[in-house]
Amino acid sequence: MSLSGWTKLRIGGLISRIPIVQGGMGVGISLSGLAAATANSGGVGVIAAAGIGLLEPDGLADFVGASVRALRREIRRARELTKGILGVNVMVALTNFADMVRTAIEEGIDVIFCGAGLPVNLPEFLKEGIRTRLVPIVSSARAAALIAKRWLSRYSYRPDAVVVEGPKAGGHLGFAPEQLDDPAYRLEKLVPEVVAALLPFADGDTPIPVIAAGGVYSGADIHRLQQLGAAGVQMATRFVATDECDASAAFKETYINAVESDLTIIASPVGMPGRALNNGFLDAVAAGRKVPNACPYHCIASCDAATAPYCISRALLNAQRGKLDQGFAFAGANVARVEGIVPVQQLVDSLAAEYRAEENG
Amino acid sequence: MDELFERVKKIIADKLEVEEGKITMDASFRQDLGADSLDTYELVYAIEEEFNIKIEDEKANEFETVKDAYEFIKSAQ
Repeated sequence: MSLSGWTKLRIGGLISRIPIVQGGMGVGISLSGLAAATANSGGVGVIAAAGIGLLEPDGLADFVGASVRALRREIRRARELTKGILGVNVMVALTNFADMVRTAIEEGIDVIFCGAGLPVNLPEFLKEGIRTRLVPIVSSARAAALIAKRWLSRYSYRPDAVVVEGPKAGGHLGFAPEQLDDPAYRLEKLVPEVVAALLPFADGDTPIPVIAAGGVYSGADIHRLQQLGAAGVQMATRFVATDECDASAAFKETYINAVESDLTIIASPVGMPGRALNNGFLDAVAAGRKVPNACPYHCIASCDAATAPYCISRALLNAQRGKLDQGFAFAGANVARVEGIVPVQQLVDSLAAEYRAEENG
Repeated sequence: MDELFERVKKIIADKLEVEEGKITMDASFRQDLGADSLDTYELVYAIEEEFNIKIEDEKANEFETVKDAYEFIKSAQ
């Protein structure tokens, strides 16, 4: 066996030295700091657009304007810190989805990742002379094929890659609660299904790369998913436990301290299940002790502020800032395995060593 | 019933895998016909092809009942 190590990940002509995309995490968990560090380590660094305007002093008063300004600044800041590949994650469910996509393209972002809904019209936003790659995030082969077919027929555009996110991911999940533990929806099953579903849309001999996500933890996992047909992986939870992650130290501590039994599936006000770390705040929500409060801006299309027991954007922002009593942390299914906070490069090096061991084992 | 409604019914029955008898004007795609968001998109794309019309994504999201889709197709023809 050779000691070849990482295979490269190709996304629409871009070549990522390592086959790892750092998953976008909102609110404010993956900003320019983490994205640039990941890109410098050879992967794809991703800034999360969700709720980004809330980081601004006038985020509540002028959410729309503040969001555009904050995203622009984070992209520019990241670009100053790296020559590597940078992406933005924009949830389709955001009411300012179009604004965020347009801003990212204007700033010349390398890749846009879109999940939490089907980005059926994403190619519409592309601009002459700017080469932004478009990558949908899906949770089924059916959705992957639907988007590929639609983009090709309406825009003559082929997805530059597709992320398939399985039920072990953190945050909002594209599955019904009863599907989460159903073996039919395991990531190991979804990856070959998505690869097969996208085969008819290949560009000649070049298939659309499939990026596996949701509970990917070790270098061995990466190798195993590649054996199943994935070109690369998207990982998020591991990147929280890094020096460069943009969240507060208290937020990162919740990951270090987490044990298996802390994980819970919440019914998010967004109308999707979400994997989170249980705490006093979520206990209060579950016990019905939280009541709807003022909504600064209708930021998620499917959120009904009149009945939502709390504002998820503000709860996530509070957690990001370390106020865990007024919010909570989303996390992937393997969060209890996280042991300590390391620099991004050290995380990537350890994954590489595990990957090589698996390759040669 | 008119011929247009019969054609619409056929597409819906085919895409959502429901009996034609269940497809009434007032039937809701999500509640009565069990459509999820993927079904809805597939249905809209099939309607575009069948009637050679263009339906904007925002418009498609507003189709709640069979009647909504029917009226749109009728006006677009």
